[in-house]
Amino acid sequence: MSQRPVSPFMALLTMNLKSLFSFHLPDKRKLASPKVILRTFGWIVLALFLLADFGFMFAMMDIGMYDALAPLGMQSLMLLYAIVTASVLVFFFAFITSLSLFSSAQYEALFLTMPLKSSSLLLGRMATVYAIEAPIAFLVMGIAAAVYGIKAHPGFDFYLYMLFNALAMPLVPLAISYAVLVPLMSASRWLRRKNTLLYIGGFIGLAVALGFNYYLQTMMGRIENPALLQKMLTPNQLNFAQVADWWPPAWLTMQAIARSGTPGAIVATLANLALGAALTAAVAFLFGRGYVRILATFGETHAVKGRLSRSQAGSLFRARPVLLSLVQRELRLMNREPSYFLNGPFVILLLPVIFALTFVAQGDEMRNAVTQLRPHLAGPAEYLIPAGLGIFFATATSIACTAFSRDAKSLPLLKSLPLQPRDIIAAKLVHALIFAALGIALGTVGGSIMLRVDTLDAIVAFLLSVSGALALTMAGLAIDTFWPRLSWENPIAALKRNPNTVIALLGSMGLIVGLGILAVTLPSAKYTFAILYGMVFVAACVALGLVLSRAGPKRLRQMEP
Amino acid sequence: MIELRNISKTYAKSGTKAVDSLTLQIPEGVIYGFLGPNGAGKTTTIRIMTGAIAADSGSVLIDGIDLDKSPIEAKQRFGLVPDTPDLFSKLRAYEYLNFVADVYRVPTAARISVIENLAARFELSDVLKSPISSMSRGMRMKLNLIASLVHSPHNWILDEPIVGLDPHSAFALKELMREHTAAGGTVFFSTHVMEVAERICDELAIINRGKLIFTGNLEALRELRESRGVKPGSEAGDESLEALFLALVEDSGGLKL
Repeated sequence: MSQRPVSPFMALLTMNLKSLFSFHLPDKRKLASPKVILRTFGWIVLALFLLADFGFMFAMMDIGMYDALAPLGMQSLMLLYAIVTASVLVFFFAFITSLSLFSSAQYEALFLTMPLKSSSLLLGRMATVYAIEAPIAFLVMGIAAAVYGIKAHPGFDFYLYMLFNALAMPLVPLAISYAVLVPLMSASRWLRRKNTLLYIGGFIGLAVALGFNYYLQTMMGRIENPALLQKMLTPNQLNFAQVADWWPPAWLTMQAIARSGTPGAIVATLANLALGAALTAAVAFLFGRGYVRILATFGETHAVKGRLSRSQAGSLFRARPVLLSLVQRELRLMNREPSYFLNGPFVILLLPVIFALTFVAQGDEMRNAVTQLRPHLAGPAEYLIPAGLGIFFATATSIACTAFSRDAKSLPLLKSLPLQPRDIIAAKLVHALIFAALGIALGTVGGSIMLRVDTLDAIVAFLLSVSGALALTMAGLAIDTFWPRLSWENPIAALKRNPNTVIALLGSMGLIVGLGILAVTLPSAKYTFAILYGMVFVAACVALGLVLSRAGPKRLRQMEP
Repeated sequence: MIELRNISKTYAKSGTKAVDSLTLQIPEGVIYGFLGPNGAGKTTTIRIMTGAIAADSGSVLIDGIDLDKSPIEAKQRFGLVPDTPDLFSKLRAYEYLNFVADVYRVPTAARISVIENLAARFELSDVLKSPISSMSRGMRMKLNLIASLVHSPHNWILDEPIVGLDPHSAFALKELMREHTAAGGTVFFSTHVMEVAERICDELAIINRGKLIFTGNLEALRELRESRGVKPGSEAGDESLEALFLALVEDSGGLKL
């Protein structure tokens, strides 16, 4: 039986989607291994947990909002909120995803050698972005439809309008994203670099995540107060609800919902779909050539030309102690790889920003919480909380627990050099401790100021956080020395998808919380726990130091990437 | 001088025996070619020889120093050009060279002299401030060549060094190999191209499926060809040693697929 070949565009689309969603369930033979079963189960649980987490969050907000507005007869404003939220989220995701996908332009450039139209190439890429955006629109609008459906019992056509308008919602943002990005990237060689895109995408992503966090916390605060909520959602107020007036996909969706049961609803839904489809097609047609030019010139780099002068050579090639040279290498390799930097050292800078934003968003609540908490901090909590914050910040960078995994590709060369394995391990520890020191300064000092603890408690907290952070950093390094992840194709896999990162992060959080609970639960003199925990941390440092200096070098000699 | 004594290595994950009871002696003053098809065990042998991975059994001696017992002293005696030139791509060229020089504890004046000389020879003087990521594969290979010689090692080990080099740089490399052996040093390099080995080597070893299937000089290889009934000057004899290399590989169990 002969199969009809698919069109070139469909083949491209299939390839793009397969590359993006490259999830493979293990085959029957591999599923015989308990390790594989456990890992597969873990991934499924994680995916369901994430979905349920976001779903639960939106459901709670929708339910809270409906219940707050129903007594005023304004419960349909909950749908307005959901539609505006979906519009804003989808817009940001469309822009970030479109931008990020340019970073794979060098691989996509292979398609330039194939007989594919430039508009098809762009449309194929836009379809990939759509496949990421659409589930977000479905999630936000689907949950709102379910909550509204259960509580208000609308007709069946309501669900159809929500569904089709959710389908249309991502199209206009998608078209606008490419209409902005293609000319922008065509104009700048600097933007056509993978590292630049990773940094920009990373920063925008973090800003959006922080903004979303701020927005959620603000909304949660307002749900408790129906008057505030009503004011915020009334269309004639100058606020986010006005998005529904001037953003055509949101406006058309609202028209479809408001006119349920009339031909006007069908017209509005069709108009929404037609608008999105027409704009997408127009952008693919108009910007296809520009997109192809970006693919063809992406990642072009130019060597820094210029002979070294005698004095430059003297300063650049100055001999340094081996350990210093190794530490500098660690710093450069980590900080110059965007996926390492953003998920590693940058976390130290990001965590205080998240705390600050939470403080700004829920300022009064937080200040009240600290004031209410203060009288209860008479015991060990007075120094344990700042110490715990310092330890958490210090170990949040994942530098130590991925030290050898990140180095997998250069290990053969590194091991062929006349280096003492102990020096290599020491350099990795020093690298992690440099950022741990920053974390201690921010966490312990910041925590002490925030909680207004006295000088003695601040000093005790500092000493505890130094010994605790050192012990946990060494533990993280020991984990990655004995169980490194040496086989990976992408740097992200060495850090973000490394089980050692999760083990170290959850381990340190668990330990901090566990020791805190123990101190609060067991009655004892205030500084007993400082002495006890300090001794435990110092003993752990000594034990781990022995393990790393004695068994570490032997393990390093056995490492085979 | 480099000696491999009865080296064996099986990869635990795949269970593949990559090197099987390999014994080699690479004398001083000789360019020694290490030939074999892809997957024959060349890179594994070089990784064992340089301490990057441990052998299951056997020993490696660099200038008489046991690599396992005195790794630092042994490693000071050789320079390595790895088969993957794209390492440390986040560094700038001078940063990488200075790192390697620091590791070998080369004094400032000596490293400047070697780097300037070799960079001029391989036409890299103008791009030493560039990020390695901005360099072509050939330029990265040349950078690795300079890095491997920054401490003026007695033994020079090169894993597939000709791949990616332009004709001018390939010629410069051959000249450098000759100079190195003329000064009494040892050159050991791997390749899967017989033609390359034929043009450069004084002696060679052929490996397939982890086992040594030939050692000797080119003359011995030519004699072997004749003993197989191919007369020099005949049509078959003119087709260089490539055909014999393939025949030896075939006789030893064919290619590993």
